[in-house]
Amino acid sequence: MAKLFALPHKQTRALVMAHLIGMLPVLFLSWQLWYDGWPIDPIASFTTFSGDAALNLIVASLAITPMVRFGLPKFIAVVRRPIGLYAFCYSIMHVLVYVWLDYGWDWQLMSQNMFTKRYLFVGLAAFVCLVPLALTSTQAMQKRLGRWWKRLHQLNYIAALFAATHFIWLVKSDVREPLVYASVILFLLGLRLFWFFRQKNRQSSVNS
Amino acid sequence: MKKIPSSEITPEHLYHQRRSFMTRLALTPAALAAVACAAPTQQTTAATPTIPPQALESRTDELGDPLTAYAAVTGYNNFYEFTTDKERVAASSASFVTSPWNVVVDGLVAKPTTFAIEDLRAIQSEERIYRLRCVEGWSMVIPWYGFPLHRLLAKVEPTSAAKYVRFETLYDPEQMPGQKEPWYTWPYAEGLRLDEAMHDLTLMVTGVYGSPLPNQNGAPLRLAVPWKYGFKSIKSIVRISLVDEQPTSLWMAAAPDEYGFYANVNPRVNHPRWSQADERRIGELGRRQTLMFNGYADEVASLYTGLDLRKFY
Repeated sequence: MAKLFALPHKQTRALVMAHLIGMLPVLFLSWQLWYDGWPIDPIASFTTFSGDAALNLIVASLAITPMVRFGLPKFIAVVRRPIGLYAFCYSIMHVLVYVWLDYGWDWQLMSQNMFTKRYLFVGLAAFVCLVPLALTSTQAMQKRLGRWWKRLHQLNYIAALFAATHFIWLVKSDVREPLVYASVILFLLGLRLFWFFRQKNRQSSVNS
Repeated sequence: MKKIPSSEITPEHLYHQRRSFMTRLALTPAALAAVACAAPTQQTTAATPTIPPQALESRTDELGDPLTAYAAVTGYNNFYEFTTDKERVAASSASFVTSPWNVVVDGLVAKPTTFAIEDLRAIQSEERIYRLRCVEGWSMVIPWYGFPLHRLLAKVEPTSAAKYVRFETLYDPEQMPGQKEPWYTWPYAEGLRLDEAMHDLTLMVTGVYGSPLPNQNGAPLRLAVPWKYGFKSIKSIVRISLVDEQPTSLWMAAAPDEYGFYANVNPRVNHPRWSQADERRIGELGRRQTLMFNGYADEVASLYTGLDLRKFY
């Protein structure tokens, strides 16, 4: 906390914004519970809630760097870490609702599902991708891993694509909403690849 | 010696309700009388039952599973004609007009007839406690009130050419805004093989929990086929046609490789994308194993002798 206030004002404000964005799903949920009352199927409600929140924040975390390149002030980039960590928190909530509330730690039922429900498998894969990102999110780890840190954190794109696939595969029939998520993620990934190869070309033309 | 199942001695619906017989003895005659008196004159949505439905909650089905709470039965509904949000269907359908209401029964029948809903309510009816298993993996136990479809079909006399029964929901996008959604082929349609339709478990529902059917549950007339996934139990029916070809349901049209015509509850045949082995009973934590034919195998398995249930899902 002390560190938060030691930062330049602009960055402090950006971080406060990041925490507000990260808490937004909880605020929205509280408002909904207040307004609509306790859901009839709270397990389904909390599953959808935490899944939506995690996916939205993963996409938000991926969008920050391109937005900075498109002209947003550079200090905004400090929000990536907290937003990514919030996304991880919601994904933990998502997994916990499933194994605890929904399946009551019934490993037998869950394991028989894991290989027949492909959306579960890919969802678990997305979660597994997020774990090392959260573990290496500290500045100390960032220093220790050096250039590998950046490569490792490109896993976020894989996690996002897995999460979107999870969404596409779990809906009953209408895939339009999950396809919007998948398109946005692919667009962001395409943008990064485009920039990457353009830079590489430039470097090679400079070298020759 | 051949063992005679007790369900063959006692009429099945009574057998199913044996445990709750004493409670029902005290409560239901009054409740059913209230339905019978209220039905012809009152609009189904507005009727106030004399016995609060909550008073009828403390009963079980024939397996000993408790009824799902009235608030959940009437507050958690899949009815895409109004909204895809299950917990908002009740509010979105509140002003749906179900009176006057006619049901056309036509096709391969000797006596095609248009029934006013009052005529259908006059058909000898009874309460049936059925499990409902949704293809999405949740389930409920619901005390429906209605009459077996065969009693209605007997009135119109299907011809020998009739092989299937096709059901259709009202098409009225002004009242049912979900029907403006172009993703699906409206109106909602469903179908049964004629022998399935004639089975005594196949119920035409006009009430629930001792009250007229609320809009969100498919007022004023819906189907309940307890051994099939919930989407087969079509709501707000306006047309029942006897046909010679297998009808195409809305879900078959939307995703033919995922939703078949039969849609029998079967824990051993998975949906292409997920397992159907377990379910969550609304109101309970944790999961329970899904039963073959939703627990009605003794009654209906013989309908499918020799049919590959994996192929005809």
